[in-house]
Amino acid sequence: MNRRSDEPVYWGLFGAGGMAIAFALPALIVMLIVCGFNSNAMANLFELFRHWWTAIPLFGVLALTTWHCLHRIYHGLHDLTIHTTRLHHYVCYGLAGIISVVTGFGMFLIYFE
Amino acid sequence: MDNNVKSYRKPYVRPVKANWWTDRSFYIKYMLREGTSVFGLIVALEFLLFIVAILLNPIQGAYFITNFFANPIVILVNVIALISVMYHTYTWFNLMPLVVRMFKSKEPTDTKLIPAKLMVIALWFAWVIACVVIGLVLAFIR
Amino acid sequence: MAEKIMKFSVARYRPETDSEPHFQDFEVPYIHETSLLEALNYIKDNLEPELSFRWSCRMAVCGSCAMMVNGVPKLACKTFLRDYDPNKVMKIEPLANFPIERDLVVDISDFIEKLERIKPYIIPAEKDKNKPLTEGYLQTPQQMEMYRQFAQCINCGICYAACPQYKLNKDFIGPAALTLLYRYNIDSRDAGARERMKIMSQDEGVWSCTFVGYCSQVCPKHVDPAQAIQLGKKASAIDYVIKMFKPGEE
Repeated sequence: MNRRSDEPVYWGLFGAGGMAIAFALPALIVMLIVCGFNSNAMANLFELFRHWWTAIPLFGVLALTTWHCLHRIYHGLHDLTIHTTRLHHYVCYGLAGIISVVTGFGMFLIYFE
Repeated sequence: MDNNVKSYRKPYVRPVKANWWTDRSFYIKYMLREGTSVFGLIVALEFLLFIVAILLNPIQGAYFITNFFANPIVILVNVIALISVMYHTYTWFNLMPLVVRMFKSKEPTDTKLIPAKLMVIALWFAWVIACVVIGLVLAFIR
Repeated sequence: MAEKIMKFSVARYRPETDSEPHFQDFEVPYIHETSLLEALNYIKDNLEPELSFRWSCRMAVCGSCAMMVNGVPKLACKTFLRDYDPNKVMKIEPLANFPIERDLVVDISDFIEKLERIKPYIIPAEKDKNKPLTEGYLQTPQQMEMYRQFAQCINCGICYAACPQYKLNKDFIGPAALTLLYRYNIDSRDAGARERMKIMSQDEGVWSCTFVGYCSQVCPKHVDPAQAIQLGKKASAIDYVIKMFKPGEE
């Protein structure tokens, strides 16, 4: 009791992620669907990774999306009457951390290839 | 005070079921809103798969990923993801103005708040611009 | 006057004999002006004198007669039979998420305890303490408008019945108490924000809210607790960042 919550950190990422998803993800998903029908589009999608001015925002969108979604999934478990513990907390946010770090590192390698 | 009066108190606590949210359409919409996060995560993982495949083997990876996105099941998942992310955008833009509560001016006598509707319209306007910009980048990037 | 008949299914629970609630059916004649509270009083006067429910003011001020009407939390005095289909049965249950004491009477003491905890009164600054009321507490219209909407709360508990997070976790301070917390924290006459911020910033404070928003939908006084809590989250998050750079300050 009376302990300060560390939720502001996750809430901040959640809020930024919500914005990123709302603004950027619809267009990106349309692109993924287009890629399914037109393999030339795939080349354009790949180009996103090869320019710093597109790669950095793309990484921001992907990382924030991951944090936003796993934050919602973590709280969703509680909504489904699953008693959430520190373990659930570490699994959800740990997964978000791993996915965003691997994504960032992968993009870094592609850029400097 | 006479405390020997027999108490019949036996408060009944109603059980909480895991499907409580099926009771009301409002709760169902809330759970759908939260559920959109599953598809957001799937999209993030698709991009991760793209990155890993290219890194492991630029030629075979590109071949694999082209086939992957052309798979009808993946296309279906992406279409559902698009619908669900649009639902996220719709709900997000509707809730956003509530977190911002601002008066039209700093005048001490001004009691008029900036209407929520105006902020929602501004957000959708910005959204259209964002989509056009991303679309142009994706179409002409070399 | 043309009278119509409304069918009711009312939840009954008598702790001395019952192990769980059950429903009892009634038929009540009504006119255009009949409220649910009047219908319940009709049942008590003419059909079932033992039916227990709480009420007092009859005009949506006291907040005593909150109950579930077809699953929606409402004030019985502000609910009119004319708005319901006479071919269907109106299902009346005690306010959700609180322990049932008897019939439609629930025990809201958990909410009252939380309300006390957040100090729902103006805590004056040391320098204002002994000022006469006429000079210490002047406000501009805008300063008043900051909290006016959130001050309309009548403590009826309807938002607690609408809140899934309170349903799932009874430690959650809940919509009305958090709204009043925010209401006093933004009052220009108040100097108790720091004390209340500690309660707000706990896991059980604003951070247990997932912005379902149903509280604001059902509030009979249009208080919009969901908005107050989101604004509270923002204030708590800003405070969190400030404390990161100035950790020593209490």
